[in-house]
Amino acid sequence: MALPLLRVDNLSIRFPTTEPVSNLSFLVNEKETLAIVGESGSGKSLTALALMRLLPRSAKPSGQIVFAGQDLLKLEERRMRQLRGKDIGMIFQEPMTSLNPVLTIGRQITEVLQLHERLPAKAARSRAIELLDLVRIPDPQRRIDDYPHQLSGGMRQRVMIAIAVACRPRLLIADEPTTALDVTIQAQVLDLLDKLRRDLSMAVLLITHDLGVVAQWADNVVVMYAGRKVEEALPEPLFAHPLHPYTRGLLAASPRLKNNYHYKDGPLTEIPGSIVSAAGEKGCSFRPRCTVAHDSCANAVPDLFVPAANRLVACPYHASFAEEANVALVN
Amino acid sequence: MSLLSIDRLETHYKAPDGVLRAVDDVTLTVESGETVGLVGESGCGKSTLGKTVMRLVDPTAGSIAFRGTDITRLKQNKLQDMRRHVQMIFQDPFASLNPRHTIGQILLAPLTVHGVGTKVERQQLVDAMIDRVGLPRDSLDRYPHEFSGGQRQRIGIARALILNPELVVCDEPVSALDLSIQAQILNLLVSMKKDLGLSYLFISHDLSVVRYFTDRVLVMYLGKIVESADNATLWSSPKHPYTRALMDAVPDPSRRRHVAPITGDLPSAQNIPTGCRFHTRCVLASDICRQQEPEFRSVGKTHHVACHHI
Repeated sequence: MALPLLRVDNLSIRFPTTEPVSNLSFLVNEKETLAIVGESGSGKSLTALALMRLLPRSAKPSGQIVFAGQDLLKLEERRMRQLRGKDIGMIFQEPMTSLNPVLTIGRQITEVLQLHERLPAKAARSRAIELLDLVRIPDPQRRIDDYPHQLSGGMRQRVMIAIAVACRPRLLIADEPTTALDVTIQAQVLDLLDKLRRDLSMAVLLITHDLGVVAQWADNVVVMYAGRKVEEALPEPLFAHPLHPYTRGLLAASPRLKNNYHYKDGPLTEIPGSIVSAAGEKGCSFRPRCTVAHDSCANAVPDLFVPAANRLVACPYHASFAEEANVALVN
Repeated sequence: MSLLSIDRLETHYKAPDGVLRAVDDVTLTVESGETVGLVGESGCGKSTLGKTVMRLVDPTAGSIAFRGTDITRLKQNKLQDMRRHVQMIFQDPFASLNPRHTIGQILLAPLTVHGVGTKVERQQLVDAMIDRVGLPRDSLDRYPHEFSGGQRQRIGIARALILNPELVVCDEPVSALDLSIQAQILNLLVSMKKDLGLSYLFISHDLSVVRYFTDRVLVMYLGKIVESADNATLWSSPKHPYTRALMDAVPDPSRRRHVAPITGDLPSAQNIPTGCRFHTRCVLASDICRQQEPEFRSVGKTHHVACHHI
């Protein structure tokens, strides 16, 4: 039975004039990968920053973020510093901007080990070499004295991963870890993350906009739109029968998923408009772009419905899509 | 006669410690009305190739001909003529729009530079184009920062197409856009192609987009074309181990976890491996691959591949 390691309950993030994340709840189980998928503006990266308590000062988070029994939002900063990088590791989209360009990668890895594990310099260095080997950097003895600019994009991301897992965290937050990388390197990095997840028994919160990545590497998926969770499901049912009009639109719009579809066969299905239209929306934030919106969708934010076990969807009309899916299955 | 024909093109950059062979002996054609896809990883030279076609970068050797006219060494005043017929759409629509100019000024500039029509006619062309790319007329008085990524790319497309060019080089036109916006922009590019009889040289690292959008595909690795075929043939029977690896690497929601199909990083274009340049990452590599560069040869009606093991 999977145990929850992280429980986010009704998290809202308010700025003076906006609320980019609203009433977000989800669980990350021990040793599992939860993917949060959404486009720019969906609030997924802010959510990651909130978990690490790295939000800008003007942001006011509310709700609960319970990690291993303690509410991170109530934790004093000193305790939070001990947690960051030790119990919770994080990697970012752009490894070049998150690594310090004037320090060798060895120095950047040993820093974490000396700080959190109190390792003496020599032991830290040999542990750093082991870590570089663990993330499959060839020739780690030599590479440890390299500066970030001497490494390729894929290798830099591996170094970031080495730093993030140096203290064997229980949770690794990966915010778009492969977006800046080529597909061939992306597959290598995601496979590495998955191997580390198993070997080190850690949970992974994978934040991405890429549905293909989600399908292949996630155990559970949360779809966000304009700061809210609109759907949650296991990957197979999500891709087989998406229930929220936004998820359905995304899957239909993606050329990858229509393998034999060519421009001569006709246009791709579009989601009209853009996420900007969600601003100030009183009802369902997807309503302005939704092709099946009803008048009532403008009245209030839709509740989360439970159409099946392990599934949630924020659309009262999801039943009609489920019927369609059943018809499609029968045919 | 091909619309665009590139013959044994090389574009090298001088680096502090040697020469970077970004484009290394590339031959290709784009026929009138055709969309040719150019795929490869970052660093493979695909963007440099696009820029060389536009003559934004000077080629080191080889030739580029547009409608049979050699444009490889054209001087500035003649180049301007050529660019009326060959335009470009860039990846980052924000970086490629002047932040201090209104959209109206941005769209008017190419018409003024090329002396198209009267003032009234130019304004009519601008109005018609902004309608055509699906933006409201009042956009013309606004500045680039006031638009979202997708809208900016519509502006980039409007600017490229306002001169009614024949060939458009698209360098990763949808890579910076969210998925829900990508489809809008791809659909716009397809309908523009139909309306204006355009040809595209479509540069992308995204195989799924290339599969949907192109008629013929060239796969580029470290400055060279390693495989070319019409769209359907390439996807039904990819031959080159690199092409296969690229296809396998695309995450596909219908398959669960898989094994990374290719190991290692792209070698540096300053230090290209001997023999077949892919041999350092290839699962099929043997002695001959390390010693001898494979010939780019025909394996089917439209299908060419450079591999010793095919």
